[in-house]
Amino acid sequence: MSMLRRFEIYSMDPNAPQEKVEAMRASMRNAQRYIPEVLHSAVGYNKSDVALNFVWEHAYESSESYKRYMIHPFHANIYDRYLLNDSPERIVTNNPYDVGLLGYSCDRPIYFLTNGAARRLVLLRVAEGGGKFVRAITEEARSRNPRMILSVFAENTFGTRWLDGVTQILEHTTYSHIWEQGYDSLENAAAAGNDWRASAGAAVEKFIELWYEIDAGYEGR
Amino acid sequence: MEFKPIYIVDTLAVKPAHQMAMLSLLKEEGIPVMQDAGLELVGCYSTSPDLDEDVLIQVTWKAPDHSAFNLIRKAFVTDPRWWSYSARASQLWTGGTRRFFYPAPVPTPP
Repeated sequence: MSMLRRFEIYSMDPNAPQEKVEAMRASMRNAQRYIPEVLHSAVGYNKSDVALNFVWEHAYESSESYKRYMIHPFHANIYDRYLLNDSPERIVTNNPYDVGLLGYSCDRPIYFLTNGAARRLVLLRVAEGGGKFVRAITEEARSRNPRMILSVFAENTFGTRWLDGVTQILEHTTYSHIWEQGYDSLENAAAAGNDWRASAGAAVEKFIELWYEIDAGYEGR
Repeated sequence: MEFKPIYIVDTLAVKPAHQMAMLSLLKEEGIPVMQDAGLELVGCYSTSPDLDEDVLIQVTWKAPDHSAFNLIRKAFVTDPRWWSYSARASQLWTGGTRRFFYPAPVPTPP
């Protein structure tokens, strides 16, 4: 069985009422209370210079469980209220990075971090055929940084398959790959840097980085 | 409570001076794109523009259930016309809500 790892990343409307921002944050952090299929749900506020403010990270046991999430009344009633462009209560904005929904498949929760740990999320557009080369660079970067307690490099298969996690409905997505790094503190995530970029050369056509502290709606593993 | 069919009630608040612009935008862009996506238009009503307060425009849609709405949502968010309509409508509204209603166990006239 293949799990689905999923990120929603947003720029927030600076004029959004704080109580609505908090309501959205709580509904996503605590998603499993409302939709049991949502696993390892956590939120974070990006601290990098990239103008994307909010990350909701989570996972699903399978494509079938993701489909149940998609048709769950809570999704349409609450999440769409804050996110869809034609909702008068929308509190996110379109962003210039063309980032929204991303993710990948994995066999087990290889992404897992405990509450209070920090994630450094690198979104990359890798040149055609460059995935293996860039993966080796990410592995080398981890070996050089003992503070990096987790590293997952994966193809962003979700951006074009957001309806059910499987069926391709869009031709392209801006960022072809995701590199999740884990640290025990936000300070270490911020300090990790991107020395790897020089080694990647033309294999990485563009990238952005976000880092945030994990505010988890779950405990343990 | 059974969550079907779904009645989606959009309430858009606009300044009285923008009432007709909002209604025109709905008629010419918003309603066609949502109907093409698969929503059934139940009705569209407006409060009076003469009350010295924001006008409320209420549009009610119907979908068979949340499975159907999931496909309808995919259809409208992948339609470039929906992005254009939403961008223009958001310039007109001052607030509002979208709420999902379900049949309540109260008898209604046929």
